[in-house]
Amino acid sequence: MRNDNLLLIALIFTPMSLASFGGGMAIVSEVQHQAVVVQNWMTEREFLNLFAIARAAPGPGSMLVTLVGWHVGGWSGALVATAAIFLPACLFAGVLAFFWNRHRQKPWLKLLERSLVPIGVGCLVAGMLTIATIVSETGIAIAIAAASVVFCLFRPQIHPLLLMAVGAAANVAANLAFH
Amino acid sequence: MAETEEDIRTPTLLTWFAVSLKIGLFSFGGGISGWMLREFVFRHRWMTEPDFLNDLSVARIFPGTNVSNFLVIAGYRLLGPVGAAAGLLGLVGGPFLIVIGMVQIYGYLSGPVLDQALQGAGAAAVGLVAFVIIRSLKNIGADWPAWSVLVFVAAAIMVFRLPLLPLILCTLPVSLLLNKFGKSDAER
Repeated sequence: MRNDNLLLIALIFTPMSLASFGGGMAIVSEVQHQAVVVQNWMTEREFLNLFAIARAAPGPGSMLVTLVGWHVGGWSGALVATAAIFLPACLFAGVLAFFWNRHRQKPWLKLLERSLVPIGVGCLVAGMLTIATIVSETGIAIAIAAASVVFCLFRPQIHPLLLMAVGAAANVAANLAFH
Repeated sequence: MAETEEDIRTPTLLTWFAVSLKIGLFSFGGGISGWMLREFVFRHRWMTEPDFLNDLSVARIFPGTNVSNFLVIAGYRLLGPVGAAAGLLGLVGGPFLIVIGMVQIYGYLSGPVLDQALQGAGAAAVGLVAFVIIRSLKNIGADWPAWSVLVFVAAAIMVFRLPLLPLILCTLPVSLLLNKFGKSDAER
């Protein structure tokens, strides 16, 4: 059973690694769908908690996958999930970088580069909508999300950790005040 | 700054690993290319600025996070396969332990207040992503084929729940064709 889970983790996250155009946030929607709906590994709320923890931690944007692996299979689950989400993409990039550099000025590569941009941004939009949907279960959280969007537009250089700490404090305080 | 090729130094495997570890431990929510430029080009002189920018732009094209791809590509160029492995291990190793430590603490403290705090933090994170998206949309501008691809991809994921990799493999040729033939020559 345990090994089945590890294999499942590898099989789920390896293709996602190769599809993560736009970075770690771009796969959030698919991670949520797999972890909550398809595999039934956790509730939507547990997923949001893992997402928030991963965003508050340092490092590249894919650490959410490490936490999903941890949730399912402890240390070995975390290791397999992390390897599955980083290694395929890194191998792909490492091998193709040479080829890419050699043909860098070819117009069809520029075309490919340009064509990938809207796909990556589309994935990011889906990731953002996924989190926004889970968050939107209370009015207070919707207000915090909206305020954070406005704030980031005017002060994009704010430290992400500070912004999330303020969001956390605001939600706790507002819940205390209204209940 | 390394003005000429002669100024460029080769990192030792250990310093390369250490700097990768540092980048992993102190990077929050992306946007650290400026800091990496200072570390790699100005401080350690491991590469010229054009080389750095080239590696970074290549790293951005491929799937995966920009930083991990960059460290693998630059690590391979500077130190070979061991450099690529050390870069990735350094970058991911620190955050791996930290994130698991955090989730353990969460396990001990879990309760309604912590859930509210995490919900608030998650809500605030929406703004961080929204900013990146809006900046990208500005870059795309009035390019209607790009917008249609973007909306299609987002809808296919959110509404139809299509798996990501097949979806991208099917959308890419369409995006390529739209890019090639969907615009007038003046726009291209």
